[in-house]
Amino acid sequence: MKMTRLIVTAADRQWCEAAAAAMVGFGTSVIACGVEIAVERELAPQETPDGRPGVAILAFAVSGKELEEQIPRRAGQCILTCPTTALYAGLIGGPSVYPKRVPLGKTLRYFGDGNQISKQIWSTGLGEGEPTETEATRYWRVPVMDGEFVCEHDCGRTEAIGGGNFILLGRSIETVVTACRAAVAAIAPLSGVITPFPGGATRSGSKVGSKYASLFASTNEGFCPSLRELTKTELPSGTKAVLEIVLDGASFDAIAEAIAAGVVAACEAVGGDGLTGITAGNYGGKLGRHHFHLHDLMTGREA
Amino acid sequence: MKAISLRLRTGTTESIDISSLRLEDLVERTPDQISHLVIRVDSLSVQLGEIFELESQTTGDSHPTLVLKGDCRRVHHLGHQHRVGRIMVEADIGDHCGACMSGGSIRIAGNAGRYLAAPTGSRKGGMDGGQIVVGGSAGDFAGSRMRRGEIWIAGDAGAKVAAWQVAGTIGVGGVVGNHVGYGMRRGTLILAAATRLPEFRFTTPIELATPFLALRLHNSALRSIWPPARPETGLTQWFTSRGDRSIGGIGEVWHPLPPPN
Repeated sequence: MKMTRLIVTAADRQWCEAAAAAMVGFGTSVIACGVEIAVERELAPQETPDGRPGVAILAFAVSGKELEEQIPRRAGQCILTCPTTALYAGLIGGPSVYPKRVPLGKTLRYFGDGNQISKQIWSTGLGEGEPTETEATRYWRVPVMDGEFVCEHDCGRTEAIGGGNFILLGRSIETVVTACRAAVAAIAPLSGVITPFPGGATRSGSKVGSKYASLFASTNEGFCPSLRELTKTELPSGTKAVLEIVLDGASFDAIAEAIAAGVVAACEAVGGDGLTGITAGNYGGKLGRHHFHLHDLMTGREA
Repeated sequence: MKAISLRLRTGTTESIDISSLRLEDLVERTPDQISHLVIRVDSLSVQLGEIFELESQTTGDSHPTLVLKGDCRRVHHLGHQHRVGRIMVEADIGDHCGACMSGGSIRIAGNAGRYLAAPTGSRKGGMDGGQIVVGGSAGDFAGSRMRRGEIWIAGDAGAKVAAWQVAGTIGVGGVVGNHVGYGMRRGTLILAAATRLPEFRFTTPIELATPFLALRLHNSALRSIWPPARPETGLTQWFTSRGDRSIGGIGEVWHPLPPPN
């Protein structure tokens, strides 16, 4: 997977969240959304480039080209349009660090119809602790009806991992939902990882492929309680509901840490009487080369 | 990487042109080779070692450094076509400093002469990248025909600052001379002192409302080199005027609103 990180700021937290919600909307799965995208975490004013409230957003796509198409399109319709917002690169480093770039203001500047202003800010090695390299960051200032939309020229993209998952098996939907929410809440503060599905979880966990040639993915019969008597089931007895938490992360370690935190939180939330098991889908190794073995991840942890 | 130090020998009163020195070339040479380089002193060709005491040492920095020591008010064309590394001047520097530079940085602890980063000879383009920081004041024509980069002057600037500016950013902490932004086409001139701009060349000031203000001025890197960006100056409300309208320019001048007539 290819990943980029964006920072959205606004005059207040309300506009910031509204812009971010629009930006990450319909971004649950690369199967049909183009990107898997979600808010990584909220940023305090002192953490953002312009000193205003912000959010960090992570976006993942199967190819760099797809990312380069999706991000400007979403930013143009969701960030540019939202009052008081500004958009910055979230992966710190210019082309020397991330040579492959996702366009932001490079594309959106044309909305200014010739009135846009390009500004470069140079970092130098003049101050204590600053990088010695002299490298400029380009920003675009696009006149809009509330003032100016400020947008960084582009943002780096990098290799990342998508499709990390763990599956909660429970004796009732209420139990699984409780465990699921606890797991997602435990993952939310972690950096470098997102859970792109609604509320962080999906009920439509899928297998790779389908009997229908046009589908890349279809329902995972082995985890459907209603099919347990019809097909080869993977559910322990007493399992009535299953939810899957899918994670995308900047690195193997980020996902591994998030899975472990989620599993611990889920178990602590409902205990052994609620869950019949926790497993993960590996899809016969067809989903990718990174495998997260739950037993290995949980070794040494207590729940 | 190498750090080279040039100390002007005492008693030198002639005008010294060091436009032939390039930092990226100097680091490739031995100290002996550097001291035999030829520069122009008045109308004569003189070896560098006769005018400057040379020191060279290897440092852990990833970029080369050139340090000028002594009273260098008569040393002109420092940083001509400067592209990589940092140049530091411990006192004043002469005219045409940073002419045609396209990268790297120049930091002048004292004052800079005339034509700071302006074009030289028959060239039409001024500074094309990099950053110049002047701890004192700059003479006339600072940033003339600037195309890219940044100039931060803590003190005053002479006449025609930002004249014919095409792009880039110039900040002046003190007062400016006549004909500010003359012929300015684009780019940004930030004046920390209240300045009355000619109405026939610049638009009526309007309040500057953009997140870029904080991005540009309220960052620690700039505060360390340009005193007006520091919070204690109390400069929170800025206005912008666009011009030079007499030539159809849309450059912007940021400034605190001047008192009414």
